[in-house]
Amino acid sequence: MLADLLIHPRLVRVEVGLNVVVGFKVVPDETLIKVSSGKLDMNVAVKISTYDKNAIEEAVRIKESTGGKAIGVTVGNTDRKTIREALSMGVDEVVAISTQYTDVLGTATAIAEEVRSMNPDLVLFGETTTDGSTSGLGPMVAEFWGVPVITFAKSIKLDGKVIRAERSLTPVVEIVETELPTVVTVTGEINSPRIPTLRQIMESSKKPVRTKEFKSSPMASLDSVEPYLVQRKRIVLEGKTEEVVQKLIEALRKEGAL
Amino acid sequence: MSFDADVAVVGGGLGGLSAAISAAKEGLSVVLLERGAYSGSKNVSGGRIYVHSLLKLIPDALERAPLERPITRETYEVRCGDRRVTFTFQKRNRDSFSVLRAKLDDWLSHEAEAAGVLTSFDTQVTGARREGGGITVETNRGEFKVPLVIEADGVTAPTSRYLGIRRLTPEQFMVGVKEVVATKPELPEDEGEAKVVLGLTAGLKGGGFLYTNRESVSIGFTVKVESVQEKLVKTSELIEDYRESLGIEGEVLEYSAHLIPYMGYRGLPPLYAPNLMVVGDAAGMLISDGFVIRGMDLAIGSGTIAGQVAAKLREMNNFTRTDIYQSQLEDSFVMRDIKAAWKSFKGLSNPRFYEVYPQVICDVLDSMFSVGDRRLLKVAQERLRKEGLGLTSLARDLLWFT
Amino acid sequence: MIVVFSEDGENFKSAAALAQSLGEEIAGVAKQELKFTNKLYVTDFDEDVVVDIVSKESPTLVIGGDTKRDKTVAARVAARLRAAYAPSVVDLKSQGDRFVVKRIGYSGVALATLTLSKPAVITVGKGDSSPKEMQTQVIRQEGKGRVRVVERREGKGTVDLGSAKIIVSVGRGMGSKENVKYAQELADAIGAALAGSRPVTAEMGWLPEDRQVGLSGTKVKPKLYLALGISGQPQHLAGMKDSGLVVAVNKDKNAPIAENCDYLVVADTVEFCQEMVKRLKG
Ligand SMILES: Cc1cc2nc3c(=O)[nH]c(=O)nc-3n(C[C@H](O)[C@H](O)[C@H](O)COP(=O)(O)OP(=O)(O)OC[C@H]3O[C@@H](n4cnc5c(N)ncnc54)[C@H](O)[C@@H]3O)c2cc1C
Ligand SMILES: Cc1cc2nc3c(=O)[nH]c(=O)nc-3n(C[C@H](O)[C@H](O)[C@H](O)COP(=O)(O)OP(=O)(O)OC[C@H]3O[C@@H](n4cnc5c(N)ncnc54)[C@H](O)[C@@H]3O)c2cc1C
Repeated sequence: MLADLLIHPRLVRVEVGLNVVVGFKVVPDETLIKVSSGKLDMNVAVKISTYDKNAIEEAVRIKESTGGKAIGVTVGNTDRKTIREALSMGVDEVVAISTQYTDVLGTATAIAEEVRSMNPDLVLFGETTTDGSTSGLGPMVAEFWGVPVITFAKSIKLDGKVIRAERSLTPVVEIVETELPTVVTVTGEINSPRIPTLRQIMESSKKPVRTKEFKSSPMASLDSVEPYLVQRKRIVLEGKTEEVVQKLIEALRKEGAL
Repeated sequence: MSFDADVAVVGGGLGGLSAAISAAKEGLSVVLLERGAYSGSKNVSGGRIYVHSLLKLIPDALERAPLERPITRETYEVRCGDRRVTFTFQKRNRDSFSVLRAKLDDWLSHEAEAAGVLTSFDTQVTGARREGGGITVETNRGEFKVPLVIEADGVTAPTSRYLGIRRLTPEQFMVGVKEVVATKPELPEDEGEAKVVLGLTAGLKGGGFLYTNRESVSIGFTVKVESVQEKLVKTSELIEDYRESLGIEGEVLEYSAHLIPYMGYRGLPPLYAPNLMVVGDAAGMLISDGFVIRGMDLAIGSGTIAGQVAAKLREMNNFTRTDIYQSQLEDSFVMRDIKAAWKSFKGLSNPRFYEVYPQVICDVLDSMFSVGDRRLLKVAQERLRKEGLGLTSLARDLLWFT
Repeated sequence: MIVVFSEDGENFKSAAALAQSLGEEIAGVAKQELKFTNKLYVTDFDEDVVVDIVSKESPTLVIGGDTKRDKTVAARVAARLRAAYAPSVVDLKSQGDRFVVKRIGYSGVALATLTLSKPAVITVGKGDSSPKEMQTQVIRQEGKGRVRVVERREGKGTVDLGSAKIIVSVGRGMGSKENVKYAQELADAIGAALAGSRPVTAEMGWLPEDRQVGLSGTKVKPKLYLALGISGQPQHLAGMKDSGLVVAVNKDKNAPIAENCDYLVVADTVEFCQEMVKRLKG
């Protein structure tokens, strides 16, 4: 029944192309952040926040299937190579708003301003970023823009101006529906982001990037970021499975863990 | 025939980035393909760079590049068991610096972007073929056609192999094992040390090194492939022993083992073919004369030249004349220095260098500092005779280095 | 005025306990009648409706629960009130006209300290402290929002990972859905709860979604955590770092989990489970 709803939606024919705005954030690659001398070394390579690629992919698919436009918006670090990655995935244009540290509220204010002036049919975000991870941006932009929001969508279907989404609200799954325009945040499971070809990367360098600045006065200021580390024993047990299992059981018994 | 860009640079290390920057500065459209997620991600992490060629490419690099410490102390250590001979030469200078490649390469890739290079990461070249007067590069991101490829894909030179101009043999390589260990060096902020260690444990043919970074040290050694095979030792265990022998404690931030070219001037592979120029490690450009290991400055130097030649070829509208690259290299420090190191290269191939001489030096000094027989030359002679060598062969071996 | 809300009764309690410790008048919004606040709105939790109720109270502090729906509501309330926002807070201190909070940053690599101006909206997870019962004025409030629920699939709340003493957790390295039974047998043998990484729960469905441990799943701190075929990405570690003893089983001894465990057994997950069960039973 549930599957039917998703796999066989009424045959959809959308007459007008949909304009989609997709937010994505340039973040330090969390897997590269290391602790050295008790401090976090944040001077690492940046990337598009993991699940924002899913949002970009979804935006591009919708644009492709309806013949509309997909416009990217990013606030904060406006690293051009990372922005080009979004463009090479199929985003038509990017608005890059550079700013110092800003809280979610500030980020939402900056994005909502863009969204209002573009007046799209749909605004997509990832479910959460890998740095601030507030999951707050989508709901806030919806609130400022005055439209409904659907968070944690693991699939979406469009039928004219009606959007239907499957929300993953552990342990509940909900199928919900509302009218466009709306804001949707998508989970990492919604699709597999495409890997752009070299030719698409070449073309992306010709696509427009509009740069802006935003001054913010955060209500939530970030005072400090400390390593969150738990020291472990790191004992390696290697060899024949029977032997290492025996050793492990002995060790666990000694520790009083079994 | 329409091409996708003027030049494809394969490999985003120092050589490839330098080539891309210098070609882009000449106004060429350049795409750089790197298999790692970012430049530096696949590089062995620590090292020392002589900055002269970097400064030619980026004149204000000393102010902007993420360099760790200037090397102001050169220490030479000869070991034989638990006996050691050490001397240190100190000189304030800014000719060479310790660097962490992950940072340096990443920085240079941003310089490349700023110069107009299109960098494409997570891009693995899986093949290359000649087609329509140019080269078609095959990758996990589809094909790409260019009139000119600059190959900077590292020691195993896959692009040359795809094009059928290169074969690999084990004698062409050494194994480099490196580790970055978190520890605050006991040196003033603006000083750094480079240490060379001769006479590694287990009679391995090779040498060890240590460079002090800002908040860590890079340590490691290079050994001949066959000596690891012969002695059947695990490089990961060797480096642990080595670290302990240096008295270094701290968290190991990175460990890596990696092949290093060991070819010498006469053994260099083809450096060009029509529509192709090879730079850096892929071209076997490494100097290891027992005192210093140099690869980075050669990669940057050869890359810079390749980029300039690329512009010339486009002007000539003839991308087959890559022989110009070879002749420009011959006129540059790159080939001059590789040629000059040729002799010591042969010296290093001599097993006595690793096995016998450290013992002899230690024995001689040992007798010097113990009460007893102090006739140095005689002790040395006796010691050498025991090894079946004479003073003349010692002299001959050492002369390779001068 | 402090407003407390959560769609989850247990989470409502931990939010209410925190609110009570601050000694102000408290209003609550919940699905069921829970008597821990001066005033309580009982509603079936349409998000538009809850956002309206909470915002109309003009609170100086809003403490929401930490479910995905709670966080969605909380962020909207913050936008409507133009209030400082910090979700999944692990520590809160009131400092004059500000709050200082701590929360996880960079996917679990860091602990961030933030200063929030008032009014502020935060969310907190389930905790150990329980609130005092009090006289509660109950108000029923229903309504329909703009997003219609077409169908709801109630997931079975299968286990309470948060309070489990021993957890066997499986990752992609378990190989297949069928192989999960070996991990289940091991879990049964040592009286453990079975959990998993995000790919095996949310993506591939080898285990129900509420078994997910991590940044976007449940935070656990058992005495013993056995990670089978889990690589140890920051987001997973974020959910189990505070465990007592961590044992990892991985065929790759350079996997990031190696740095984050007490014992790393270099072995195949299935063989490991079979051997463990054999020895523990024998
Ligand atoms: C360690 C740390 C902790 C932080 N904690 C807080 C906090 O508690 N409260 C607070 O107000 N701010 C906080 N911030 C700031 C906050 O991260 C930024 O304002 C951010 O841009 C928006 O929030 P988010 O990263 O949580 O995004 P989320 O709300 O988790 O992101 C949802 C989606 O919105 C989109 N998106 C997010 N940020 C951007 C952006 N800058 N540009 C374009 N699209 C974007 C992406 O698609 C993303 O997947 C924190 C920042 C850091 C580094
Ligand atoms: C915003 C965000 C939130 C996230 N939240 C979570 C979260 O809450 N929880 C979570 O878990 N993840 C989360 N993730 C995903 C996370 O980044 C990782 O992708 C995920 O944890 C990896 O799962 P895994 O370890 O099971 O799989 P993999 O990373 O694929 O690791 C599998 C491991 O199994 C080993 N292996 C393979 N075969 C065998 C065998 N036969 N025997 C032994 N070992 C074997 C491999 O060596 C490897 O180390 C999140 C990601 C993002 C971006």
